[in-house]
Amino acid sequence: MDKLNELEKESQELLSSIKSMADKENLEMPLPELDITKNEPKLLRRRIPSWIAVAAMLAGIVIGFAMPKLGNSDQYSRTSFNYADTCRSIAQNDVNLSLLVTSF
Amino acid sequence: MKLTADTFRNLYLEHGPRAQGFFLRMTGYDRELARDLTQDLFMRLWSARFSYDPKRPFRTWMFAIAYNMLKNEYRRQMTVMEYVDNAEKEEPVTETDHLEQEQRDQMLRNAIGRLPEPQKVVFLLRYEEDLPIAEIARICGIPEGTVKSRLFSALTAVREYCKNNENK
Repeated sequence: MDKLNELEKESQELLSSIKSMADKENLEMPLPELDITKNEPKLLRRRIPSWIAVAAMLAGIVIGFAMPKLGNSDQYSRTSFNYADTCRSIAQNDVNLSLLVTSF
Repeated sequence: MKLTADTFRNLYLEHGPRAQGFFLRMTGYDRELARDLTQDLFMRLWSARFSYDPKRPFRTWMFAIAYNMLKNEYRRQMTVMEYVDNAEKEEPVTETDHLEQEQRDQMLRNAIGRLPEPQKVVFLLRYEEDLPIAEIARICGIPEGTVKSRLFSALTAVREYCKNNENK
């Protein structure tokens, strides 16, 4: 808009007075204290590195697979048998669900 | 540029006074409110620092959030800021050497204070903060043509007010 440019040129003195007044006011007023550290704990919790999350998940999977085998082999066989037996009962529609819950 | 705490503190020292001055003039020289808004603004900027795009100037981001905060403040108060009334409560000047300058500044404050809020925002961002028209348009979420027409109306009104009050 040429009209605006023309008006700005005509108002140079006025605009520079406004600018210097604003600059003076900006400097006169002290800045409030800014404590950005109080936000830190929340932000840290939110920013867990992704590699830690992945490592924790992999560790969980490995432990989950290895744990039954690390224990008593008889108990492991019995657990497998119970699991298979329960599956068969479910397939035959021959199970009380409340007992199923308590059996695990 | 990654916004670390140290970088952010430097940005606060550099841009804080401008943001506070902007709030001061937009709120009709309510110093307490301007301080609170400045503090709140920089806390928000710090919390949102992960969404900051370093390709864009910091001040554009800062003024965009500042302007949104002001709009919320206007809505909250449900009233137009009494710029002139508050400006008149400023402490009287005692030094006679500065009296003329202070009277002129007061006239300019009144002239800007009488502008409607949409014109005042673009006027302050353009002539006090030296922001380009494209950045002002982005901050206010309006087309560049609208920014220009508001600037034209605002500048005309300020000139008119000063012309009528210069010798009073």
